[in-house]
Amino acid sequence: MSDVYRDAIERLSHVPGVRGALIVDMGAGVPVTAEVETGISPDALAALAAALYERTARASDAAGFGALSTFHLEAEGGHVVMAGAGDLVLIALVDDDAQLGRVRLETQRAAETLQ
Amino acid sequence: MKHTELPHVVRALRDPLHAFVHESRARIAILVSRSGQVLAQHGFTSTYEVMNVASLAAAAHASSNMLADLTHAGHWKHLFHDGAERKMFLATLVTPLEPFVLVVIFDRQSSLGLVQLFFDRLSKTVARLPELQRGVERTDLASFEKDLQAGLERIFPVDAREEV
Amino acid sequence: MKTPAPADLQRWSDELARNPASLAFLPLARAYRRLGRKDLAMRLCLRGLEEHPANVEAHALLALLYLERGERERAADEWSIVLRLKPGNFEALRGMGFRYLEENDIPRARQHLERAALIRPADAAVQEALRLLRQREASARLEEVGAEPASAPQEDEMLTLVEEVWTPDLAGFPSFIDEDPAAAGAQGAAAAEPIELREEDVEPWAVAPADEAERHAEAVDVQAEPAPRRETATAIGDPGRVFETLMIGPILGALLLDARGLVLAGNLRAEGSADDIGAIIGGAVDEAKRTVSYLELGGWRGFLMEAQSAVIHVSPVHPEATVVLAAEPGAPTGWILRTAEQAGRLAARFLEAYP
Repeated sequence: MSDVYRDAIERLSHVPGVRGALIVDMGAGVPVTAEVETGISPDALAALAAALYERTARASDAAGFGALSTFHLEAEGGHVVMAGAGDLVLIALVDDDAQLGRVRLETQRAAETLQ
Repeated sequence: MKHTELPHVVRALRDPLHAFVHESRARIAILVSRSGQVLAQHGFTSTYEVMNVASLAAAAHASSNMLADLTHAGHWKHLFHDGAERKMFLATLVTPLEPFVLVVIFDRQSSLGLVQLFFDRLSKTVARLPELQRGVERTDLASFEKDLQAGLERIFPVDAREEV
Repeated sequence: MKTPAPADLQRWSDELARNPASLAFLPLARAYRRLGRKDLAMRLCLRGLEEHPANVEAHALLALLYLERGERERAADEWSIVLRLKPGNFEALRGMGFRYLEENDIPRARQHLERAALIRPADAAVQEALRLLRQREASARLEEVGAEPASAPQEDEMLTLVEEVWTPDLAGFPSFIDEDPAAAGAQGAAAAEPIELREEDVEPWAVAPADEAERHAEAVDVQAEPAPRRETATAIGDPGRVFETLMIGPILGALLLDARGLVLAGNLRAEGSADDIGAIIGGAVDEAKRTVSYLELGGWRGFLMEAQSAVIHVSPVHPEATVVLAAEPGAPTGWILRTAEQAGRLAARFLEAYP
């Protein structure tokens, strides 16, 4: 496993409030590497979140907004923060009361290291 | 699987298969018996020679199982062919009656991850279907009468009934 | 407060009946407010703002009307809009200052009240509030270093001040709301004449009722809370301008979509058509809802997309409707989220008016 991938996930999973961090192959929707809390399915998260990111990236392009760089989904039970890195997407599953500014920053930084 | 069980099985699998295609965004899902018989199909099937796909898929499934045996891999969870436009996912759908082969064809509207995710859910749903539980007696009127007569004959042997 | 002359009421009403986009709605609304017909004043304001969404005075009057109804949050929304349009507006600065005081957001309260004091140093309410704030801050600093504060303003002293300023007769809020040069001119001539609102004055743009019974029913209806407006050709404003007040700075626009991804209202400064963008984003909304459902994250609250040429925020405003807000890339995220909340409120108001 590439150190770059491992380091990116390690760093992201240590941000307070992050319950899971994954690098996912966007096309296949399967995790390349993951660090998640017990009870979270990395395969399900990878498949669903990557599909959403990919779908939204196509929507962004089709609507004339250009390439998508980050996506932040907010729900009652938490957030999913994603950042694209070529064919990969970095995904963080976050608690509702986390410091989102920091999570977004770290997700973007981690994605940059993968490019 | 008895021949008489087939219609019940197909009927029972219809809704879960439909849900699988809808949720996974696959183009087509074909449920095939191990002998290559098409049991059910959902999705955009008109562009495919479904019967031929089913036969070949069953053969591919059998070959890959042989390969798993020869390489001591146990059993493969699934087979995945990654094409430029279309992809194929082939997996064993285990049921209490007998295992079936599920052939899924999808494009970029879906992904391997999604297909796998919803296949796992389909498997769990199918495993719980009452129609597929071995030992459950499925009766129709004719069999009911036959069973009733058999019971009466046990309770009231012919000689005794004649006496009554 | 000055009372309006009947001749002026007539003149404004006639003008509005002839031209629903006329600014005559503003003095007429003020007049109705002075006469105690505040519900009518509010209806006039809301309708006038559809035609003139950036009219500062209308927003300020609406803020006052909301305040008088006890709807402080809505009043604060209107003052926020006023400040975006006219950052130096005294009433809005003072209003927001007291709102922040009530919410115990001392830094923001201080910021707004100090700016208000610069504009009108003689305003007693602002000066009193600042005095209390400074006292409290001084006491807090003394406490930090372990010294005994001489005297600290009690929490209720602050709230009492807020309540005094925000009492129903709003003694603390005179100013330009009552200043109407046109009314002042006619005042001398018609001072002794009693004011009577005729039925035609009430809704000059309404379709004339067919018979006496219907006219009577309408007159009674006027006494009630603002009802959804009748759909006459003149009564329906331009849905494309529902979010116009938000389109300042880096905001490119906003759209209100129904459950099918069809555009109900709003406008967007973008390459594609609003309908196309609505349909495309509607698809992403479905995907987002699905993801949240399968991941068992509860209900979805929205999403934010950062793309090359725009930042898009999408959120539900209703079980069956969604607001899409677009901004230029690089716009501060917190500001986008707050503007999105504003857009949500405008959308909710629109949906209430046109169910």
